[in-house]
Amino acid sequence: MSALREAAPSPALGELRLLGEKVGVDLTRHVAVHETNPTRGRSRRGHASDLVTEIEDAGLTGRGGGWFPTGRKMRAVVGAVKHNRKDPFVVVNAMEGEPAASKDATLVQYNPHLVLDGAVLAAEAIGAKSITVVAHRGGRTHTALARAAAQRASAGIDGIDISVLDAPGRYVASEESALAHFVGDGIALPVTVPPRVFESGVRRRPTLLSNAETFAHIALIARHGSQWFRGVGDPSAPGTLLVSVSGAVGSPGVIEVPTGTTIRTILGLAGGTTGSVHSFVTGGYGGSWVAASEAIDLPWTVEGLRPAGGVPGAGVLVAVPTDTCALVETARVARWMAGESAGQCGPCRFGLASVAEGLEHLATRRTSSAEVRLLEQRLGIIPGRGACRHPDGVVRFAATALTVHESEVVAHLSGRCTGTRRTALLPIPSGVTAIPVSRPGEEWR
Amino acid sequence: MSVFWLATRATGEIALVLLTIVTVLGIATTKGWAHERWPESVVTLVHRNVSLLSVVFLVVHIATTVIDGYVPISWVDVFIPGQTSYQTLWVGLGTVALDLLIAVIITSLLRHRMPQRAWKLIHWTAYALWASAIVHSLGVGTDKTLTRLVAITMVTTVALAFVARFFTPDRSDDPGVTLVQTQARR
Amino acid sequence: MSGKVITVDRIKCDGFGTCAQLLPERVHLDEWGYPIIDPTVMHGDEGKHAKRAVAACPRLALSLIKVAAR
Repeated sequence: MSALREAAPSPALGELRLLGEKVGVDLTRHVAVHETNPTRGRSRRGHASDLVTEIEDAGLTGRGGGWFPTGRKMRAVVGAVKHNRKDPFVVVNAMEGEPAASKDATLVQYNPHLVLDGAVLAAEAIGAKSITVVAHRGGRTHTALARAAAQRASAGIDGIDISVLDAPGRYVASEESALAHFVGDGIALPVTVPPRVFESGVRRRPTLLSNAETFAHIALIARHGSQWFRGVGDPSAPGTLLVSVSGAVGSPGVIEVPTGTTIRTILGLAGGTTGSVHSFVTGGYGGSWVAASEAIDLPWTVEGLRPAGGVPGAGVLVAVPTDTCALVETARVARWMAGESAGQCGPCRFGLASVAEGLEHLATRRTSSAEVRLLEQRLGIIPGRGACRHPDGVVRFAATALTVHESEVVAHLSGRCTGTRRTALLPIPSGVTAIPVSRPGEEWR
Repeated sequence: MSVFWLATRATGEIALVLLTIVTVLGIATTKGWAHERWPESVVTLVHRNVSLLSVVFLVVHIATTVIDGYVPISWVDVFIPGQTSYQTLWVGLGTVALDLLIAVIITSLLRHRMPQRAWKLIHWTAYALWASAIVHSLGVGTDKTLTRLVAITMVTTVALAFVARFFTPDRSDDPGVTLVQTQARR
Repeated sequence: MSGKVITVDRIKCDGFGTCAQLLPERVHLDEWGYPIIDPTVMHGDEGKHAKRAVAACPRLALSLIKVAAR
């Protein structure tokens, strides 16, 4: 995996809320920098406000890729608790399954206690008695969060237990229902929805499951208020967000920008592009390719990127240089993603494998226009027919690759490839590509 | 020899054959064994229909036994095992088979309205009910040659299907389409 | 006016194809044997056929749901 360094703070875009000061796993320093975590009942600057209402007013949207309004999600959990009369759970998703993303890892190295503050505040607001944080097995993120939780436990500041679990490093393990399944029953496999996790998640109880960065923003909103949060960013989805920028840029890494920042500005903050860039990958390996010329001045929001077919996802932006064959990269990613299928649903298990094969033939210039048509036909019938959105994402990634690089497809059909790059660009975790089986075993525990 | 006594032995053997067919078709259903002329939908529907047919023959088998009165079996003994003084064990096994069959059929009719795990658990007792019926026929039957012949054939058939069930791939691992695809696609 | 819609549990589904055989007007199979279901609402007699198709699924993956039709 390409090394992603944290970027130096940029004064040009104003305050850095999450990556301003690198506090690290240090509770004392955290309190000194961010003040004590405000608890329910205690007002913020004299204004008594229910945290859920505050989050709704702030307009915070999920930073794990869904961009779903967090206040609405919390409200739904509260409603489900009233309806089911079961104690809710809080789950912090610090898994960061996207290979091209490292924003959660960076956030946890900078301000792990902000993440945990947010989880504690949310738990108090919805009446949860326990918090579970989940990160990849054997990763630095897990270690940091475990240490941070231990610090809080010995200081006795929370009054709620925070357990930190390590989950298997499979791509779909970080999917919402899979994570709730793992926390409740120990198996990180997606389950059928509905019911959604907010009404039936961990052990069929209402569960507030959100990304680590989202919880960090909750912690800041509780301190500074909804109007402060709305002070920067796009009004439709305000605040700041973390973007993992990689590829042909001068300083690849994680940067914090207001929502609605253009791709051009984001690239500039990451050291600018190095050489000619033809297209970007937005959102991750379940996201989409966009033409650089179409997308460069689009704002980084769901609606903002839509005209070019881009998706912000979990804040992933890869600048793909012109010397790289996008079809080769797409084939590599598709093959890996096909192997990451849980194998529970036929269209995903068999469909993605056939898509990967078609892309590989196209990438290696051993295909025909009939096979490309078959590939496109398959891409058309796979989405929406799996239990989770994994196949939909892979299909979008592949389909947009073919559209954006139509001329490259034509070239490959006549046996030519315009790419000259000899090394892989998009990072793929090392290890054997798994072959999905219908009865997944121990690797999912 | 009364007509009832003949009828009870005949319908008993037929019910046993039908139950064997049901068991094999049940295995075929869950494994997705099918053929152009016997697609999966037919296999599962015949499995269901033959099970109901076997109930019909069972009802006649039981009714003729009780009515005939040659052996002292009352209606209570039909449903509660171990009550008869006559061949307590062998008749009792028949009762057990009937009780299990009633449970399997009722739960299958209510399949969509009950937890799947409970349905599955009860359905698995189908093997036990079939085995009880086989042993019942051997113990109770007076024409030993016939009952042994039928029993051996039935046991061999189910044993083969049982082994095939566990030593062949599941339908979910087979990414091919059923041979009836052309009909389905039209 | 209300009608019925077929939904499928994609994890329970193992691609037997019973549904497509009993309700070919609504269910087609992809090349791997898994159902592509017409999501539009069914009325009247079609609901009866759909009921049989739903009952015949060996994995109980199908459900028939009442919806308010348009």
